[in-house]
Amino acid sequence: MFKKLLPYLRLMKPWAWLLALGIALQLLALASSIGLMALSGWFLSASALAGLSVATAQTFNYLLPSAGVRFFALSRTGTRYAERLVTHDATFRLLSRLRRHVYERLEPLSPAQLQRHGESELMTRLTADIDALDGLYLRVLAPSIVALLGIVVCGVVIGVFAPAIGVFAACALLTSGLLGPWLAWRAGRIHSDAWQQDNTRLRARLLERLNGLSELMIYNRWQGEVDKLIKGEHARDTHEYRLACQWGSSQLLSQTLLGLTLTGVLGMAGWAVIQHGMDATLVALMGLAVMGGFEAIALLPQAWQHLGRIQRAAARLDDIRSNVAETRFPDAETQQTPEGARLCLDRLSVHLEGNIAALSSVSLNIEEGEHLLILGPSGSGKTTLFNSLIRFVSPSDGTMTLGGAPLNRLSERDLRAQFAVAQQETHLFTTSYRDNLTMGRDVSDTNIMAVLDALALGDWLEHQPDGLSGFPDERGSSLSGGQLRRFGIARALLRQAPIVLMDEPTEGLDEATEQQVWEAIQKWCCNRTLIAITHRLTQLEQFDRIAMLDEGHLVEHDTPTRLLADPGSRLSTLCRRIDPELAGLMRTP
Amino acid sequence: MASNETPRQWLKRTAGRGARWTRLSVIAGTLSTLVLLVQAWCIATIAQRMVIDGADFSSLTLPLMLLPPAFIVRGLLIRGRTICSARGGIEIRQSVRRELLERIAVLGPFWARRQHSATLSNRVWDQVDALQGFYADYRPQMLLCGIIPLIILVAVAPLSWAAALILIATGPLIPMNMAMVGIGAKKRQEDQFQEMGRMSRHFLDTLQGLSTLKLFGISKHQAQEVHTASESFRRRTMRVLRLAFLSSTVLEFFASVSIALLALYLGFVYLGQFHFGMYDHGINLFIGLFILILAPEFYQPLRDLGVHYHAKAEAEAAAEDLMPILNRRVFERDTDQPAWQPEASIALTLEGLSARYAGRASPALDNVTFELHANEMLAVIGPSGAGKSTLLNVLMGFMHPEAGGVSIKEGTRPPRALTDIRPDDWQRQIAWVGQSTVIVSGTLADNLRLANDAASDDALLDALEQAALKHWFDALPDGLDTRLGEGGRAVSGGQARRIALARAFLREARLVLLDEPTASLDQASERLVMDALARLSSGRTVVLLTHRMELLALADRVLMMDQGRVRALDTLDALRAPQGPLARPAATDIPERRDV
Repeated sequence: MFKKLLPYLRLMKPWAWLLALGIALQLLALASSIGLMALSGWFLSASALAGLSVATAQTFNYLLPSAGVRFFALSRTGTRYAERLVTHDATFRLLSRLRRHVYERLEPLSPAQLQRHGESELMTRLTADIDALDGLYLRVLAPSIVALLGIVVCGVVIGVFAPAIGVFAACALLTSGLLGPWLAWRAGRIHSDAWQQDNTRLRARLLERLNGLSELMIYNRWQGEVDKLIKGEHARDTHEYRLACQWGSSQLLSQTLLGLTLTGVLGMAGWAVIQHGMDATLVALMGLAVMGGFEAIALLPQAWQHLGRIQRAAARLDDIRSNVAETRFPDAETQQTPEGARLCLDRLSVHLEGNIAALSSVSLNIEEGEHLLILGPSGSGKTTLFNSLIRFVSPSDGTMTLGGAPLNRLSERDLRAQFAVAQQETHLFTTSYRDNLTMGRDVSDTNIMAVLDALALGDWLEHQPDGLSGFPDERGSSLSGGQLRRFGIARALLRQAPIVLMDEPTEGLDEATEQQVWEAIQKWCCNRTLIAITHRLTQLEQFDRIAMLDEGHLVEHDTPTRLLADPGSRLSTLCRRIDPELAGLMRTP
Repeated sequence: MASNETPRQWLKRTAGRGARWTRLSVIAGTLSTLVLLVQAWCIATIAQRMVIDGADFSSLTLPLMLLPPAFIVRGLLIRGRTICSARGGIEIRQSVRRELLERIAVLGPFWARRQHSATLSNRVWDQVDALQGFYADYRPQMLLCGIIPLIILVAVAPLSWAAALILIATGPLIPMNMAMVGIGAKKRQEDQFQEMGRMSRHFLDTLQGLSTLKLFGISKHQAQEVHTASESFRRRTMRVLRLAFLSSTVLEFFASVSIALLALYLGFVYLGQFHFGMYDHGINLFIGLFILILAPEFYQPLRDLGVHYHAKAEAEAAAEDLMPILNRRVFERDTDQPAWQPEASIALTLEGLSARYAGRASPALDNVTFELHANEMLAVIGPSGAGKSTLLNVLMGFMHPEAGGVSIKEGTRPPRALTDIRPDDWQRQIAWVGQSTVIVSGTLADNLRLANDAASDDALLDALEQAALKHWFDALPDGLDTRLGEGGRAVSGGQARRIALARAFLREARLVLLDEPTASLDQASERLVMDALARLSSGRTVVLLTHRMELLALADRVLMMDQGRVRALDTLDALRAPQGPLARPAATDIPERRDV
């Protein structure tokens, strides 16, 4: 049950002392708190007793207890402040390590599959899970240990004067602190899981419905969908409500047990005073110590709640790993190095999830320095072809070689060094524009400016107050869609790799910019292999060869001149289907 | 609904929707403080009887008997409070979410598409959930902060004015001190919140960019980067926290010091050193202990409030995102129009129609005037941004023109303005096939009946045949009961498009709107869809957005649009005549740009 948490507990090792210090300070704060109330209670009782006669009142030593009261008041404040700083610092240190740990576990997974797993939603949930995991110390371990020790302190404070009452108080507090929250935690799991499931389902449903809003509105179904969503939400919230009820019941149980404990302690103390002549001034001390001890127990319920969340987070992290296959790279002995950059695809087939054939037996050789344009309607397998080249997906059949070496015999380092890729989506990191473009390599600003200018991004850069050192704003929205795409192209062009892969580089660009971008790509890729994907019929003749994909099959590939000259070719048919004049009209005059 | 409402005001206004639960929660909290008085009475009485009175054990019976029920009642009240709080939060959330969803319909699909469906669903779902902490925990607690200390003061003041004075002196000082000692403690807490947010965003950013990092061969190296960045965030956050924690420490300090002061004051009164602060009845041990037990509770509500501070910050951030949707002004059509039900094919007249998107300088539609005849199929072409989609949105009633209008003529009845027809009535007359089709989770029959509730099974089968789905349908294991979508049978793009067509056949609508109905289909599906379109258009008025030559050939007339204006409207042949706007150049070269 707790096995999944072990690796995370192990991560804490280097800061064991810091964590211990945090717990010690928390305990001191708690002890001060118990001490303050218990000592004050005793002081009042004792001084009231002493004040009954003038003689005892004058001999009563009030210096020590009053100094103690003041000391506890100050130490409670001081230790609590120190405790907060130390525990938070420790938590953040842990968090740094935890993030690194999780990142290292996720890094080997295949991005394409990760994305199919739910894309950014998965990532968002993952971050939330890690945030939950970072509470393992601050919210679960520390409060639990402190509560246990606090109960011991409370037992000792009482036990010094009356051992039997001390033992009783400690045991009773332990029961009242653990029983209720534990029951709530056990029973709550069902509802938490159901809540999570409902939530994921409803969220996905909402997104799906929002995408079809026009249709649903035209068919007068939006109101019905709203009702259904709200009904689903009610079902989800019923679980939340049940959790709250359980939670309330567990608090009720804790309070009841506390009440019984306190009654027991006070009753026993009273009995001890009368029957065994125990000092009567200790009665108030014992009662207040029990109440102070409960302050520690009050931390436990939250800890149990968090424990549930943390366990689910750990389980989900494990889940992702087991669900998404890794792409394995060869070890040092079996790896080969490519000679040249000739790409050979032999009967390459790729099956995606659900056994859908994305590519069927594609054979194609791409010479070093060749510029190849891959055409095809959406869903024809163009992007899958790219993803197989960069090993984001694994082929189900066939072979791919690069410079004579099978692609899966290349070390990750060698493989990555061969390709510069501009994907359809450009991810902008929250770091400077320069770092976003150089991606960890040394590139001179002159080179960067040259690429940006060539891609018609020079104007945009001039409007950035901090130029290349500027940051994209926190949601990465300082670039428009078209600019972002060109930014991705610039990033790829700046990378010195023999093979350049461009996925729909001019999608969403206007005519003039499109022209300019193609020119820049051609210019920066001379002497390099260029493979570009598009579904637009432009720039055909700028390429050495055109390959047509349709439903995963390579329909034809040849030079553009020959394909266009053959009236039976797929390309010619396509060019005829869209009337040239009509295409001319599409252009803004 | 003030347009310059702050998030805080909105949160307060919205709280009214769950007010009774909040009220119950506060009442439970208040009562539980009253029960605390009983508990304090019991403990103090026991001490008084034991220590001072030296009484018999039997004199403890009443307080000892009273203690457990007091705790049970307090537990029950706490339970009630937890439940009411959760309930209140849930009800407010549900109401806000419903309002948002209904609001989306008023703002229309075109508006929704421009918000990005992912962003919009995040707002409707996650941001609304983010309100829970505020309404369930923060708000009731805030109200209790004004009540509980007062009850304790009222209980203490008649016993000793000096003790009450100590509480009064430190109590109101706390919020003041919190603000003063950490000049702008609130600001600091906000800084803390922001710094923490940044920290987790950075990590999310790295994870989302993982494939980019991989492609650039630096994903392994990035592990170190993740750690370094996290560490530098830690240092920054700790700097903020060192100050932020001060404010809660001040609170802590006052709570501790006032307990100490009370204990010392009472002790010295007993010892006969102090003679002030009491009334004629003096102060006995019972009174002293009673006050001492209540003292921590005086500060507890404020300490608890601090725990929920992040809930408030989260809710305010959410409110800021939600308010623009809820408070956005829209044109709301009068719904008191008489019912409208056309009996013949409809013709449309567009007169000087102009429309503009909020915040745009140039109009999306600029003085568009043309007539759409009954039973005509009109194709609309033009470059992107020409206003084709806007035109469709105006026709569907999702967008309100800023000038001009649309009037509808059917049969021999006098023409009627679109604005004089109830949106429901109008939309019932529209069938729509767009670039993407909604497949709702449910059976095939459910999916088809979306367009027409009352359609019989035979009608469904007929529509499937018309939409060229018969072949596909025959292969389905459960026929009309086959489950589609989420958890059911996957539907390809071409099949989905034909399901949309089948819906259009079932719809019995007078006006059919088609938006690139053959976009991104493979050749075989495209053929099937086009045949179905030809069948669909007979006896209906059709508007078709396309740039496909084959589809243009189906149309009776072609409307050429450019920059929101009508450039030409004529038959395809006339447009392609030697002097027409679509005239063929002398020699046809390879075109510069077309789509596959």
